[in-house]
Amino acid sequence: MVPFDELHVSDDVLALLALGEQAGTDAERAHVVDCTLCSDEVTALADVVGLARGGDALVAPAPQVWDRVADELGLTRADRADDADVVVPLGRRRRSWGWIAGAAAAGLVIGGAGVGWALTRDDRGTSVVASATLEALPGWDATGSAKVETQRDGTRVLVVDVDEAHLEDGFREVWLLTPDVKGLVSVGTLDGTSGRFALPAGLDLERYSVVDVSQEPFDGNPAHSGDSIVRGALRI
Amino acid sequence: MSPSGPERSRTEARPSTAPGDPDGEGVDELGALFAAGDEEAIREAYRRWSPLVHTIALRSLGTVSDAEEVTQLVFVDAWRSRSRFDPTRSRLPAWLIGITRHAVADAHERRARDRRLAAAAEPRAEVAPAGDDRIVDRVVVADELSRLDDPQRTILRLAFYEDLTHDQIATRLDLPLGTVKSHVRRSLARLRTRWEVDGAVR
Repeated sequence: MVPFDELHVSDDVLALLALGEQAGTDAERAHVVDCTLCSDEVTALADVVGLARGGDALVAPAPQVWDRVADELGLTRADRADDADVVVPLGRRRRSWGWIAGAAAAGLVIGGAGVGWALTRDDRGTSVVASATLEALPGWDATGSAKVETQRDGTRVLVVDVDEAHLEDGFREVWLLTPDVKGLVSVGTLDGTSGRFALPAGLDLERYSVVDVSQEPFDGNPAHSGDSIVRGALRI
Repeated sequence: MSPSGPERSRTEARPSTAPGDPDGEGVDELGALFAAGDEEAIREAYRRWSPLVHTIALRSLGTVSDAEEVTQLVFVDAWRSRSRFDPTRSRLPAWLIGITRHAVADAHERRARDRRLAAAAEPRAEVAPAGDDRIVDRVVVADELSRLDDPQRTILRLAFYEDLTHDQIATRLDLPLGTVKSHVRRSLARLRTRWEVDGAVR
């Protein structure tokens, strides 16, 4: 039915109604009930909302799946070597940030509704709120672990251990990344195999939920080198 | 109140190769390169959409080994049959999802057959359902949600998973109410468009 003034409820209000909010005025809600166009729109958007609420994180396949695809298809050798972008970051040349985003597809759980947190108290009055197993990126053999401790005073400390000692020129830097690897925060340099890093109070660990340790040259460039040694997602 | 026609929301996030395209930038060019047999194109396609394919398979089949097998099969099959992919008529992700649906259905068929063989003495077992179609839809929407920039993604997550109202979100993120409302509207439209482009294709 076409309302008297031929005006419909605004798309902003329809979107909020689809989310289940009591949005708009009584008159607008009454219009939606009577107007097929508006109520169909709310129904369609509510369907999308339902899909989103019923979904959860995407899971990237393990890196070796690409190797099998490339093997089975007999992709050219040059192409496979070049595929460093996805799975075999060897060499020490400075790469663009782009391959790191690509590497997200190589073994990280991406997207999703956020990190779940659990509290486990220890004797020192600190609580481990999240932990991660750090796994080597292709081209590296190191493994490690990371955990986030909350101190009595509420401050948070990221504790990182990497089993392989530092062997190369340059230094190691510890980062927190977003799961899609589009955002990153440097939390400090790692000297030796263990380090403790105080986290800024405002840093959202649900957003920056991936621990990354990179090999950095002394070249004065503060950006991530693109050469990650180990990486892992924080979880319960 | 504003006048709106039946084309509302579709006019907003129309599929195109513009930045913010629901399938990522340059998806049409990538499709053309793929069809032309450029090996760079399958690498890029794998990079962009293997999590999507793998997650659909994982949610449908329940085991990582089956999901990996399906993922491998889908990309191998897609590349080998690329001459049948027409980039002017469909988009690469939608095509890959179509192949994934078939591969998943085949895997369910195989399982049902194995079960029948294992229980040959039993009366004929029913064929297992070929998975829930909503799985694909949910994974496509989740994928698009993960591709949103911030603050849009955070806004929608707060609305979806924490059930915050738009004014609570505005307070939480210290954003103007109108900004939150328009982000909600545009982002929902974008999820819907992506779902219509890639998910609703059967």
